[in-house]
Amino acid sequence: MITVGVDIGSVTTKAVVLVHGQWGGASLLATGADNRGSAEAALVRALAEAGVKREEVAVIVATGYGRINAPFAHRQVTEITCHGKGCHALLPQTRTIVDVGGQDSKVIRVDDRGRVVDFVMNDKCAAGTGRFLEVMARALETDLGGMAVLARGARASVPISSTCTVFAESEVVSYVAQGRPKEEIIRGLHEAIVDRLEAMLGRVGVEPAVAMTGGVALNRAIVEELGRRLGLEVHVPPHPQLVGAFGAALIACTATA
Amino acid sequence: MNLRPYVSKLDWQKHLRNPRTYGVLEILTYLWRTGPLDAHRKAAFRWGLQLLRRAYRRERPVVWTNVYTPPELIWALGGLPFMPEVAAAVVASLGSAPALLQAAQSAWYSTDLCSFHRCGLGLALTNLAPRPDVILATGHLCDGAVKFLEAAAEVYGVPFYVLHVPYAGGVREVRWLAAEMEALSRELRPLLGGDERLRASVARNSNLARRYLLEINELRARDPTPWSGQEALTQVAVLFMAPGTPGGVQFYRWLWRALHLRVRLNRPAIPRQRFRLLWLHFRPYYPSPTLSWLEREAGAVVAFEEVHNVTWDPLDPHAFWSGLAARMLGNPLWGPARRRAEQVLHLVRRYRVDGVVHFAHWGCRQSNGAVPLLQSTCAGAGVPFLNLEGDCIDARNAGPGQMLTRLQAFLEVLEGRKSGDHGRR
Repeated sequence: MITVGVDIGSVTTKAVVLVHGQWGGASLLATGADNRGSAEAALVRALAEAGVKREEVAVIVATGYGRINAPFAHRQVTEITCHGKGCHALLPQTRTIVDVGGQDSKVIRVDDRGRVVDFVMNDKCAAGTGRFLEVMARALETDLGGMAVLARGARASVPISSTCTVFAESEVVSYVAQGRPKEEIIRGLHEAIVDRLEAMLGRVGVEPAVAMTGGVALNRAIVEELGRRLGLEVHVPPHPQLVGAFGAALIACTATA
Repeated sequence: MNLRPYVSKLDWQKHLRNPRTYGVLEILTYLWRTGPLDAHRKAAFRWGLQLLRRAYRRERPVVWTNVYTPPELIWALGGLPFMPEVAAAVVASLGSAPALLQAAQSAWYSTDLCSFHRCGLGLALTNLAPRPDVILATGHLCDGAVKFLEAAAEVYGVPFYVLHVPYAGGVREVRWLAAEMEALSRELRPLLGGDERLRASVARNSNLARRYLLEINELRARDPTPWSGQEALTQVAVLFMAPGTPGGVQFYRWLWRALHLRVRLNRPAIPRQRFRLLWLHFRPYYPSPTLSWLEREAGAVVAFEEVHNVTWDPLDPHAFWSGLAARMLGNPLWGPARRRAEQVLHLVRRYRVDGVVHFAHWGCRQSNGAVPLLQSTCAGAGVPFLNLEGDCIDARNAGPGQMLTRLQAFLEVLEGRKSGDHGRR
């Protein structure tokens, strides 16, 4: 059976194709303003990579905040359940998942079968998300990859007191004007994100093993800082930004069209 | 009856203040054909129109007060109760809250404060609501309510009274609060005219309504449940204002008949009830798909909501003030949060719910402050708990997509529990 999971996030849209439960192909592209168009494009590209025709696909599950904009999907499942299922399949010892995406962050507790037991999502603002890092990278005239490198090399950090992304950006600009080292400001920004994640983890409780998914999991500085705070290793599955789509494709395997 | 398109086309502010508007609307309700399954809706609507007509005509002195003040107190004092928080919900449902919120904001009322109060103050500042003769705040539950009612009293230049309610209730506290109410009734008698006969009639009507409400709550424990949470959380306006009046008795009698009939005919509120939920606090009152999606599309019916929990005894006309005092002090939302948590657990068992949703209304310290204890109590009992952040009145404080994702994920957790062996009910 061929199944597809499509994860329409605020920043990127991802699709994963499974052929008889095994990885067939995947795609990742910017979501942009046209959710529906990006979902369709991601699906087409992933199918091409897997060498599969559309009519061969048995079930498609859509997830992510734009899941309602995938008219071709047979089912819509939230990203919370999909990340739980996908991460558990990749790292079966996982019981706590931290997913930081473009516009929201979540902490998900799963049981030994990858079923969601409890979850918590960030509140309404974008602080503590990928968007927060993007805005700050622009303010500091660097890129996301460069930020992680600079943060890891910093000897000290500048405390970022604002919780709002816009106010934090002003704070960053002020620190730059004061001549504070860029890497220390960036380290402070990373710590501000981890502060938020730590509070969310406190709400649902931490049960090892802990894994991190979503695009921000590619940032080693965040992963290391979180692990240091928890006193645990934070595992990152391969292609962490595809975990939601992968989980959706796995759910599609058990669903009927 | 959807009035929204008509209201937006009218010069509604002018008509809102005109008692004739409510008379005309009341006549129009005679064209509204209802059967025994929904006659209570018409009864509630008509009662609300009558109250507004009387208030704008100033048939009796109008007393502004906050929700959770027993309406029997105002009726027995001889006034017509007007609760700006209830009016805020009605205005929000008509899509007209933003202008009133803006008016309050322009008058230094911070957006960090409760939008029920901001909207209520907006009603005062724009002079849209029936003008009060007296404003009476009760100190239980919400300090924000006392402050905004005081601000409204300043706007109108009318006397402002506060009933101080002790935090925890025993015999001594009941006696103290009853004496306070009795003294207030003596002071307000020349203005409002309440007397012993009125108190006896209010007590009789209140007790009749209470008896029907108890029967209704019994019917709601059935599976499938005969009443939807969306409607129950709308008709909460009746609970806040009508008990103590013949209209209140009529509404609850009609509602009891409707639900009884629905059970007998096997006509549940929602045809496909996959999950039963307990709802804490209120719901979004502005046009929002949240509750209808939850109940009608996802099949998760709100089997009960804590606001309809009857925790008070019948009123004895000979001990009227102490009866009301005991009721206020016994409100599980007032006093130690542990008491509320215990009631929640009782309701979880009584209504055999699969999960609990606390609607965390922005700026509501009194309800949100109890969330850690509510969450840990539910977790201890193995009941999934969702703290759903949003706003009852101000749509700007809540994204519908964000709320739906949280609710859908919560239902997926419940689904996982049902499909596994650890589901409860």
